[in-house]
Amino acid sequence: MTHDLTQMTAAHLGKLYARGKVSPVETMKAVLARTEAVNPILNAFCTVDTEEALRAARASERRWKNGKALSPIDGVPVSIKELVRVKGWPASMGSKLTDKAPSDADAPAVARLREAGAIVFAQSTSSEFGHKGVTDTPLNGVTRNPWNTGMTPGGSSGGAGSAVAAGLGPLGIGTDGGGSVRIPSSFNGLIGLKATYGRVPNWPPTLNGDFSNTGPMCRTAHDCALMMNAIARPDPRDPTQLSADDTDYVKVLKRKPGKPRIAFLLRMSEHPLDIEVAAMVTKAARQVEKLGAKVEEIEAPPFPHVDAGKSFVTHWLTNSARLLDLYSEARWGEFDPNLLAGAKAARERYSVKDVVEAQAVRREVAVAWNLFFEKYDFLLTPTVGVQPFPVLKNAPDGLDGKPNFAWSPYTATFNLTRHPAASVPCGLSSAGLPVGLQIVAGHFKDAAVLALAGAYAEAHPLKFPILPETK
Amino acid sequence: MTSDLAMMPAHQLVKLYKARKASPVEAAKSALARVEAFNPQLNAFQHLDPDGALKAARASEKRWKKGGKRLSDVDGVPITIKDMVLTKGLPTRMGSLATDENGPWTVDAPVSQRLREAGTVLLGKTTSPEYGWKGVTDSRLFGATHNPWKIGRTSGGSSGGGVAAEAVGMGNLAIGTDGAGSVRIPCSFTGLFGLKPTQGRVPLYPPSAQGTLSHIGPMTRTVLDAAMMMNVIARPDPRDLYGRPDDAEDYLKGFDKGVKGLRIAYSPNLGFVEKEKIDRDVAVAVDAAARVFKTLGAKVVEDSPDFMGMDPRQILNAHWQSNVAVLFKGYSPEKQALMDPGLVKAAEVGANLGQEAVVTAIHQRQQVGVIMNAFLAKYDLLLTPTMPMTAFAVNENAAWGGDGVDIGWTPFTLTFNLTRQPAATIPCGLDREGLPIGLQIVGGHARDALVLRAAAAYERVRPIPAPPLAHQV
Repeated sequence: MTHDLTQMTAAHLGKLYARGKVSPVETMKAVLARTEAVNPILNAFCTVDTEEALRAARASERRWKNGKALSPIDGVPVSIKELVRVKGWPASMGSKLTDKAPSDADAPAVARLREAGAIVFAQSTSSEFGHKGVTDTPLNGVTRNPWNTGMTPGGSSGGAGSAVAAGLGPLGIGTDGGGSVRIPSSFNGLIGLKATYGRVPNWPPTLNGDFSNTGPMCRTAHDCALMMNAIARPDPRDPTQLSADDTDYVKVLKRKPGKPRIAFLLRMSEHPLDIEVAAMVTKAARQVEKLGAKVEEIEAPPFPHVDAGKSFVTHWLTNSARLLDLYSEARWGEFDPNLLAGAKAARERYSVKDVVEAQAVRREVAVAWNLFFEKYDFLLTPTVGVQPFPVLKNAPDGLDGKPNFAWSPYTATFNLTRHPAASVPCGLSSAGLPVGLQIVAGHFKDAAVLALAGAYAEAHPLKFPILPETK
Repeated sequence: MTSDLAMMPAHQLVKLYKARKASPVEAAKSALARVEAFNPQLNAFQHLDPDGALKAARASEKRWKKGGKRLSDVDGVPITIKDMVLTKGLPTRMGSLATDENGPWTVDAPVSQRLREAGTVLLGKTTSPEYGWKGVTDSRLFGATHNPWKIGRTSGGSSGGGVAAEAVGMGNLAIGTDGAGSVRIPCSFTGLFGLKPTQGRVPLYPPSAQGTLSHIGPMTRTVLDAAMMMNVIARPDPRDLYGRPDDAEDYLKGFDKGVKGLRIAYSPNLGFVEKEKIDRDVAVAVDAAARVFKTLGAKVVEDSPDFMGMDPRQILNAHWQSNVAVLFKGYSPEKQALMDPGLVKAAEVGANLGQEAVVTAIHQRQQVGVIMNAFLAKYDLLLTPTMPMTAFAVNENAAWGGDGVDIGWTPFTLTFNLTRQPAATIPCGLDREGLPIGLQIVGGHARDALVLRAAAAYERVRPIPAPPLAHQV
C-alpha cells in the first residue's frame, strides 16, 4: 500500500519525480481514479477537470524529464476551494445565485501554484460564500468527512479538508475568514495554516475584507511549507498584502525551535468544551513542553472574549448583508436559509454605531493580543471545542440537547487580530475522529507557527488509513 | 547666528554639532527665540516646554561633546509634535475642550518614544483642530492658527500648527498626522515637504478612531530631513496592530539616485476631480513640475486611474463621518456641548448614514485599493496636485465655503488614505498671491524611499523657499 500514490505527501511525490521513479501522469491518474471512486460519497469536489489535469500532468512529466521542473511541487495535484478564482471555472461560491460564467483570471494563489507547476485539477466545496463552519449548500449538497461519512468535515473549506484526508490530491487551498481553514483541518486531521493577513495575497477582495485569508491544507507541515513557498508571493492585485520577504518555509521547518515561551489557554470564556477534546489538547500542550518549550497555562485571553466575539459577529453579519444589495430580492429564497437569516437580521439589528464600534473594539482586541505576543512566542488552544458532528446541522447538540452555537470559539479572534494561526492534529478521539491543536503567534511569524506545528506532528504523527473506508 | 540655526536644515545642523561649531543648546535657544517672535501672530503651539527643551538640549550637548556617543543622526535637533500624538509629561488635548486638562500624561506614542530615544529636543505640542477633524486649524481650545506666508490665511490642517512652526524655524523638524490629508494639506499650504508614509510603516498608538485611514509622518523644510526622520520613526512597535514587518529600510540609501528611467504617471485630476475645481495657477504649476521630472530623465506619461464610477470622496466621507459619530457618542452631553459645532454636525451626519452605506464604503475602499495597486504596478510613481487650491482665509471650516462635513475639497490627498500608499507633497511654485502650491508624489506600498528619492531629485533643481516672514527676525 506504500506505493499508493494517492496517499503520498507532495514532498515525497516531488522526490520520486526527481528520481524518475514516478511520473506526474501516474499520480494524476491515480488521484483521478480515487476521486471517481469516492467523490460521489464525499462530495468534496464540485468541479473536476480531468482533461486539463492530464494535459498539465504530461507537461509536468516533460519538465521533470528535461530537468526543468519549476519547483519541488511541479506535477503535484492541488484542489482549489470554490471561493477562490480559477481561470475557466465558475466562481460559484457555493451559491445558486452567482454568475456561473467561467472566471477570466486566476486568483493570486492559483496563479502562483500554476507557476510552480502544480496541477490545478479540482474545485473543492464550500459553504455558501463561506459563511458557516460546516459544508452543505443549496448548490452542491452535503460534503462529508472521510473519517466518518456521517459527520461533517467542518467548513467552510470542508471540501478541501475532506479531499486531502481522502487522498484526493495531497494539497488543498482553503480560505479562512473566521476559522474556515483551521476548523476543517482539525475535523479531518490535517495541518492548515491561516497566515498573517496579507502574507498570501487575495484577489478579488472578498465580502469579508481583511478577515479573509487564503491558506494551505495538507497532511504535513512540510507540504504546507512547500505550498507557502509558492503562494506567499506578492501580487499587485492585492492592495493589503505585506511586502515580499524571502522566507523559505521549508528551511525554517528544519530549524530547531529553541526554547520558546508558550501560553496554553483551554477556554476562551465560559463556553462548552468537549471533555475528550479538553483532555487531548491538554496532553498535546504537555507534549509540546517536552519538545523543549516552556508552557504556561493561562486562565483567560488578554481581551474579554465576549466583546471580541460580538465585534466579530457584527463585522461578519453586516458584511453578509451586502449580499442583499448584490442580488435581487426575488432570488433571496435560493440562499442557504442560514445565510439569509443572518443577513436579514444584520439589517435589522445593527446601526452605523454598531458597525463602527465593532471596528473600534477590533483595534483594541488586536492591540491586546499584540502585547500578549510580546510576552509569549506562541499560544496553544484547542482548534475547535467539539469533535466532528453529524452532517446537516449548523451546530452540534450540546449536553443539554439544545444546539451548541459556541462550538467554535477559538479561531475567529485571530481573524480579528490578523495573527498567524495553524491547526495541527493531536490524535483521534475514542470515536476515531481527529482533534486539532491550534498554534498562534505574533504577526509575521508564519514560518515559526508552521515550524512548531511540524515539530509537534513529527513527534506525534497522525496515521492516515485509506479514507473513507469502503467495502 | 543663533537665528540661522533655527532655519537650518537638520542634516546641516548636526554637521555643525559634529564640528563643534554649534551646540544643541544654541539651537534650542534659537528656536525658542523664534517662538517668542512669531508665535503671537501664528498661534502654532498648544503647549510649549522651554524648560524641558533646554534640559534635553543640555543632555544632548554633553553627548556631542563626549563625541561618538550620540543617540542618532538627529540627536539634539529641536522638534515639535502635533497635539494629536501622546507625549509623556506633556499634555495631549487633541485640540479639544472635552479632553481632561489634567492628564495624566504618562505614555509616549511610539513616534514620541523613538524621537526621545534618538535624542531630539522636543519644544512643544503644536495645534490641531478638535481630533484633527478638518483640513484647517482652529479650535475652541486654542483659536486659529495662521499661515506664515500670509497672516489671515489658514495654514491648512489638521497638522496646521506643526507647519506654521516648521516654516519659520520654531523647531527644525515637525511631526504631523494624516487621516485624509492632514500632513499634506498644511505642507502644501505653507510650502513644506511632507510625507504620509505607507500605512503601518510609522507605528501608531493608541489606535486612531479613524483606523487605517490614520497615518503619521514628517513635515520638514528639506526632503533629506524627512528621510533622516523616517530612519528614526519608521521602526516597529508592538502596540501598533497594523504595523508592517520590520524590513530594516534605510531611507537614506539610494536617496541621491535621481529619477532617471523611472516610469512616472502624471494625472492632473486623478481621473475624477472636476477640472473647474482646480485653481488655474495650481494646474499650471503642477504641469510645469511634471515636465521637470521629464527633464530629469524620467519617463513621464499623462495617465489617470479609472475608479469605475466610484468616488473616493464619498467613500472617505462615509468612513470618517461614521467614525466621528461613534467618537462623539463616547462623550457625556456636557462634554459634547464643548465640541466644535462643525464636528458635531459631522457626527450627526455620520450617525444617520445607515449601516448599508458604511459597509458599502468599506467594500468600495477595497476596490479603490485594487485599482490604485494595479495603476502603481504599471508606474513607479504618480504625480498629482496636492490640493486643488492654495491657502484660504482662517476660520473657514473648508475651502469653497463648505462646512467641513464633506471633506471632498481635498480629493487628491484623501484617495491615498483609502489606499494606504505613501504620498508626499513638495512645493512647486507660488500662486498669483504669492501662496505656495504643492505637488503630490505617490508610490506603491512600502516604496516610501522611492517617493523620497524622487522628491529629492525635484528639490535639487527646485529648492524649497522659506516664507518672507521667516527672514524678519
